[in-house]
Amino acid sequence: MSNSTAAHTEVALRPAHHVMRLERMGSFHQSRLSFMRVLLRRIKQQKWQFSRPIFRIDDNGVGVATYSVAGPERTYTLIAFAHDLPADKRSDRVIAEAWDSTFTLFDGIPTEDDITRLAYNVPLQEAGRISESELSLSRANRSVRLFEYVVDTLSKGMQPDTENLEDVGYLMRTTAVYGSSKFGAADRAVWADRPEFAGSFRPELLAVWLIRTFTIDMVEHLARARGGENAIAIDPDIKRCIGVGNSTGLGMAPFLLNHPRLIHTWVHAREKALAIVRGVNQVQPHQAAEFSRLLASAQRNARYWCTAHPLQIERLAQLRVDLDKFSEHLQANPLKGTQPWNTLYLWVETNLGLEAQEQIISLMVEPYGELVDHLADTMQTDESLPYAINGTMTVAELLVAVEKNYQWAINTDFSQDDTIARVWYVSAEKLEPRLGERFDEPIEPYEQPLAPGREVADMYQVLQTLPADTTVAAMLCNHDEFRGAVRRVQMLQTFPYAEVRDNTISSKMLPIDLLRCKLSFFGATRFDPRSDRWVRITMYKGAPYPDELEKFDPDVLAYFIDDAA
Amino acid sequence: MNWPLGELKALATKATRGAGFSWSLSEETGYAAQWLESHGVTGISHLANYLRWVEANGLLVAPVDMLDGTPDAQALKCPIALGCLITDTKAVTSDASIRVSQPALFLPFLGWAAGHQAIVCKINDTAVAVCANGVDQEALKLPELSLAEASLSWRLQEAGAVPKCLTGSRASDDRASIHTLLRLADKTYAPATDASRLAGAGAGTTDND
Repeated sequence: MSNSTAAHTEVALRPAHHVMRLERMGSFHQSRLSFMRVLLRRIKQQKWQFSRPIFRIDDNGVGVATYSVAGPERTYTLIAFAHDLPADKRSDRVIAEAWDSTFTLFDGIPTEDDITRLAYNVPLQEAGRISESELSLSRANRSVRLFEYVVDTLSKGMQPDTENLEDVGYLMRTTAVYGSSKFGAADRAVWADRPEFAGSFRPELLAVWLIRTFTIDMVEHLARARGGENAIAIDPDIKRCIGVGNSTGLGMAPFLLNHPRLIHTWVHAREKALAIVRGVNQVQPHQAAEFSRLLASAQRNARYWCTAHPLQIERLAQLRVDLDKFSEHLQANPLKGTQPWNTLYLWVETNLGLEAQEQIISLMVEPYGELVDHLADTMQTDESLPYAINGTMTVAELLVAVEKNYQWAINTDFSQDDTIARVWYVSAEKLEPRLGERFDEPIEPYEQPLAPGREVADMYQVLQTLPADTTVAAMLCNHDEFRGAVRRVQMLQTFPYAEVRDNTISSKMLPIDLLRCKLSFFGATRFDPRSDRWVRITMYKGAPYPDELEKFDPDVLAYFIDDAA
Repeated sequence: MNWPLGELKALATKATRGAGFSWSLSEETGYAAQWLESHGVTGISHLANYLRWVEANGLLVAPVDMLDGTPDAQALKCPIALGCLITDTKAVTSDASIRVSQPALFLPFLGWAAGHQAIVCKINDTAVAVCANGVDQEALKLPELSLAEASLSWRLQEAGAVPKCLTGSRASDDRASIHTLLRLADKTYAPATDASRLAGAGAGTTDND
């Protein structure tokens, strides 16, 4: 261990029944384990090379551009198709059929034939077809508030006002970023063994980072087309304020329920990082100083964080109050003594709301990259085979396992309408996951298996009627509908963070909590819920652009923008 | 048009559900179809054949007669339900002859139960070796794999070489079978209404900014 990191004695991980509650998961913040940040760290370390081989965009903003990134072993290319979309066609909904721009991440360097093939398919998105050579499929719409404003100001030789940029945070907003095996794209197995994609969602997030550069190139290109010699390029410091927006609806929500082993790896890594830092015996002065700087940034971020949703407004107000309260506490109680982070964390857990608790956890981990960054490599799993059920377990043993981890489910009265008010279903229209009202809509026959709590509770009732020494295999032979429930119960014995420990069909359930959790692991910021099931976010805001990676540390810039604000 | 294996797995799961199976068995079927296709067996075709058979004849009863070690020699077994029982119990040997519908769909479960050893499965009188890495590539074109119904027995090979197996990353291109699976998968989708468009996805209609 280097001198810069004090010795540590790890404390216990926070228990899953404490962490895996929807309200807490819906308060998670980005951290240095977030996928965007891990990806940029790797790209910087490996000194990837960037180029823009093709930029055939006309003065109306229509055409194609390619962005290639060459790592130590392979090259990837974002192919961007720019379209002329009438304003009345612009919609973020998955039912939209046209977009301002459409993209695919190509595995290698595309030929002109590849580009021609993809030009017939990528603009169609779900209605088109891509191949094993493509790793992602996505689209983006311009920000009505910002895109034209920035083009106009640059064309007149002026820089855009940073306050306006801060309000929106992006020039374009992706409305879907599809990855492995979607619409013909390569399966995860094709690239899962590549070191540069170790972890989760790497190709998708590489594509988004390159899309960010494309959005800048587009406004500068259109400004030049309009302003000629008067036009200027956007100032690099201002440019860094601009991220890529994303509008995410329910399509993402079932993911956390459908990939329990993977979710365990994500949350476990985050909890492990917290436990490591809580176990640090002594805080070095430069680490304390770094934490104070980050806290000040987080306070500013909370002040500039805009949202129109009443629930998030309330959460934000509490976050601001809590961070100020925490700052005062920190000044009065400097990080001294044994395991000062642990002492501080315990105070936070007792005295602050969930938003602030989870924000401070992310900040506490920041100064300890050399202790925690390796955990990013554990945030993946092979899900190509089903989790093996232990059929020799007895019903008595299964009951004990249920009672240990599913009290929240077996104590829920699922005969009450409000506990089963919702139905997850897939609409025939563009196969979009949706959430309906069980007692108001004729959707129950189409219900998806996304209520593990109810399934386990139903199974629990059946188990109580069976002889204690009945094997799980025998029970399942008669009740194959409980295979999923058994698998989840057994899985939790090894993967405690695999299950969301809340009722996902309750009238009180907020889907945005599921979205926020997943997006925080991506590294998203500025969560702005537009309803209880739809959220806007910003990605890569403040991060370096490809041509800046040599100069800047992406981890420092993760909070840079808030310093500048 | 060939399909990524992950996309095929999702389709197989939905189609099986559409044919009337529980979601749990449907998910097992998705994994099984994906595993077959990834090892050179036309899982799409076998699954489509089986689901068409189920549509015509109804779901087979659960293989509860297997539990006490005295299987009913006459009762035709569902390859998926039987496969789940075999993996749950690690019953890697059965000298008794079991009647199984669409036996190819049973092979993934034997492969998972076998681990890195091999299980030799006799389909009628033809031996097919399987292990965790796939189905013996010499057996891929055997007509026995495509039988609608066959007598099976199997035995773990505790010594000897594991079979040589293929590994691929794309599914076979059997359009008639894909069409069958798409038709059945459609049964799992709720018809869209104006109300669900507005409320179900949550975005409303004004999403420009």
